[in-house]
Amino acid sequence: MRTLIAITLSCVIGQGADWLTDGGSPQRTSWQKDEKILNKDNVKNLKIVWKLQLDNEPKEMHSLFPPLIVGGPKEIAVVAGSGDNVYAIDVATAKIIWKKHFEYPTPARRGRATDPLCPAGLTATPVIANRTVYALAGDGQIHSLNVDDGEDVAVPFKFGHPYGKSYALNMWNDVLFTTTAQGCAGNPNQMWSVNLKDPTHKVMVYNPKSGGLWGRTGAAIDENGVAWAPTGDGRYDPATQTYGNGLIGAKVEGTELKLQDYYIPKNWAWLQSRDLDMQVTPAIFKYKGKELMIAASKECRVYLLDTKAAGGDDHQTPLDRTPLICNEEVNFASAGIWGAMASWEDAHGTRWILTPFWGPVHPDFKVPVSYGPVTHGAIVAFKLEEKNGKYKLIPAWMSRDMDQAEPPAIANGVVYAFGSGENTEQAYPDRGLDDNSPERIHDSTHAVFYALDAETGKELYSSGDQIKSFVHFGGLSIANGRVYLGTFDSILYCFGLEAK
Amino acid sequence: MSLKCANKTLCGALFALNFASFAHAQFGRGGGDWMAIGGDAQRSAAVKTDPHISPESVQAGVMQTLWKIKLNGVPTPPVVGSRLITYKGFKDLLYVATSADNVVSIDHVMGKVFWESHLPYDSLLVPVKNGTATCPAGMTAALSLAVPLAPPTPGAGRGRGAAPGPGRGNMAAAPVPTLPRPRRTPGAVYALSSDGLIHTLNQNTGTDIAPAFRFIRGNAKAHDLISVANVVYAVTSDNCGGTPNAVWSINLEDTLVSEWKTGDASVLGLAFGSDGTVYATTSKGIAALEQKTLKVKQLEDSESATPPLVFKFKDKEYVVAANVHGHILVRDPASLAIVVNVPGNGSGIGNALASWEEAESKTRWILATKGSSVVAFKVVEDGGSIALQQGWTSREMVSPAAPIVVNGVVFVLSSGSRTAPAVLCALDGITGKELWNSGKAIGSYSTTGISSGASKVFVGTHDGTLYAFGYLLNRE
Repeated sequence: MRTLIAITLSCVIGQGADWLTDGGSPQRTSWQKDEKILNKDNVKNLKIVWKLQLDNEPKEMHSLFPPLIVGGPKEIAVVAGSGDNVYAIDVATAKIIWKKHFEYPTPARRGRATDPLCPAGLTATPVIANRTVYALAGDGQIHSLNVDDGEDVAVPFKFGHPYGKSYALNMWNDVLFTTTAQGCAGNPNQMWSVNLKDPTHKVMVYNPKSGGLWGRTGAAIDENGVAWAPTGDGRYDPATQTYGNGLIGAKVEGTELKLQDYYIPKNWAWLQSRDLDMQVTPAIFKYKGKELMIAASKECRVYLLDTKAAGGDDHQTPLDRTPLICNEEVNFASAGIWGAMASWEDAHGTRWILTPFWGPVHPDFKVPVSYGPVTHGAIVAFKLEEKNGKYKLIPAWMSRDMDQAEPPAIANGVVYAFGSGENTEQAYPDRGLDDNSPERIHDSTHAVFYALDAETGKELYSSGDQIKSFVHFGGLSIANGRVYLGTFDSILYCFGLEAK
Repeated sequence: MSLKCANKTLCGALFALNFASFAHAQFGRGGGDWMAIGGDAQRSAAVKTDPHISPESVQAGVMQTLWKIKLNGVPTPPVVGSRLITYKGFKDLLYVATSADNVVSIDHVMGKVFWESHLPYDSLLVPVKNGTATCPAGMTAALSLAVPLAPPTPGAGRGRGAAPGPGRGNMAAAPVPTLPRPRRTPGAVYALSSDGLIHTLNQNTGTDIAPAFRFIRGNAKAHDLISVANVVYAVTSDNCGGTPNAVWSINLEDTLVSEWKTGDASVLGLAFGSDGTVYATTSKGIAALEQKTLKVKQLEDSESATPPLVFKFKDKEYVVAANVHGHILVRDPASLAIVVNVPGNGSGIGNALASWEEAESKTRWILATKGSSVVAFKVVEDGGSIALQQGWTSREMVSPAAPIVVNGVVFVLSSGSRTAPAVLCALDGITGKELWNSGKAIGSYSTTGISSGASKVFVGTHDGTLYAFGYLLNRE
């Protein structure tokens, strides 16, 4: 039915696919199911269709967040920028249709100057629903903007602390979700929600008493409306409702956001002691009638969980868990799995799981297909298999080396990926911990965008050195033959088959 | 393992129950840095609290053989620092010097060498290659971290009798301890190489933070290295390599070296009072010295046999050491006058003492190796003064090394001999009952002492192997 609607819409308005939220869907699979133009035969001809310099001011290492793509009279890319900007771009002409800049008094509190973790500005990818862009400004106010003209369609309301570093917005049944991390400007680390239909806009939160909930694309939402988010370093002590180094699922019940379930790895104390926390937005999908979820950690393992009983009876037993894929060094920076997961299903019904990772592959990790030594990062694909109720993540392929591989996206049999080129070092031999933006920006290089055969991992396209800057907290969006990526220098790149 | 289980299933269940409870706990406050020989500036040789090691948990089986690493040279007792944020990640590191002039950093949770530095010999003196029992060759002093003058205030320690962790079933659930914040910048590791230079090494890398300075003559038998308030101290004994017997200090700010020479009297060791007074024992006396300058404040004749130890009882400080006749002498820290004299019974006391305080009752204990046993004394009030009341005596061991205490558990190394490998034993600090021993896990004898930190006990053996025993953190 959905396919029929997509085809019909495509005939009427010439396009059929949207990308309305970070990760492509509330489930954060990063799978564009409706792509019809790009395929594994023609992506070798990808080129930069256009690139657009925006006037967004980078904040620390942040700049452009993943674009949202919405069809209509014009196909529009909605891009949020760290300088409290939202741009709407006509993707056919690469012209800005409208721009909104959020003005507010300078908040009294902000993060440490030069701290990459706490930029002073907008940090959450917006979400689009009913042709309304919901954007969270750096002062913690939600703005509801008409996607066609950028005009306010509702009075802004408070949904967080100023400079509180919120992560990508998600939406489920008129409820907005976000997560916060790093305690920026004194903001608590917790999951947030607000019902758009509630005239009081009561902010509902759940605090797992952990480190930050810093999955790159915020929370993923399952079929029952449970929002799942990873929790940063902290203790696990169920007696005090403390759920560090794990994954929590919370749901709006009435006017409260309540914990529904959680998963804590059995080695959580080890993860905490080495800052290897679960900090990757999970991806949720259906498989053989069950709703499953994949998550990961900086330790560099992928976990398979049942959304109806994450971790089983003891909350600590996943359906499956991979061996260490990377991070033999046990490093908290520049190694491990960061960002978000991805998943898709091929025409044969095979369920694929994709994870990015940073740093060298673990010497003990075996994968049947690979493409040369991996020292900076890569994408690994697993096939999900089930036999007699036992689930197994089977390594299928590992991509070529990528300089800090970021979360991939999938469309029509092609995996799109990029190495961010970002310098991710946070500590130094002489100084220890000294995470600072100027040094990292100086030492960053440039992103490289790739298209891979989703079944083999073979490289089909590389942007080489065409992208001139690095990416931090950016991400891929795909719709209707175009793939988008924004970089630190506030340039939005559009890859496609034909130049404008 | 001294526990005997008639019903293996029941024992297994109890063991699992206990470990389920331990599994929730992890490094707590006061988890125990071991910063220099004797652990702290007072040389108390005691870790006041530990989230995993207690008499109850040791009896229940918490002690595991964690790892062993073969080193180049005979290891000195390691020092253990706080968790560090390094350029290769968060690390729990110990640092150990070996007789081969190597300094090795080991991730003591993983049992992996993190870095290794060889300190090149830089002296006009010909290096001594083959030492003797009296004057061993190579680097002899254990390393030091920067040691605070006053012992750190213990955190939420349990002390004896407390639950070993949050429990299940009928066991009361204790709060899961909070993990202390890691150190963000690397501190220094101080190493005294066999050429007599003092090295200040980066804890993260093992490289020199500052140029190495001439401290003492090369080929000495140096020991009791300790860094307090940016001044490094050491002692030398037995005139090894022609180095005079002395207490030495070097101010790292101006590299000025001070010394208190003791003639033909070997220096046995030193300890600090909380006011910074340096107490040193020699084979002929005991002295109170000024901090940094080492000027003599007070000197008393005494045929000392152990390094001094400074302890507090009822808010008053005392200095204790044993003499060659087996007497344990407790002294006033200012006058060095003897306030307690526990006569010996003919058995010599030849190793460093240890002292610990029960968390709840505040009972102070003094431990000494006497002959082949460890003897424990309670410090008690006695008509306005204090007295030592003999408590328990351990079973006999083969050349027991200086005891150490971790949260109410006394660890003693039966050092062994060329024909009998060393065995590490854990005793109940109040009763002396043996709770655990390492069995045949150690493959050689030991000529150095033991140290502790982060719920582990470290044993170095003469064949150059370093062993770790203690709480096994689930990394899988």
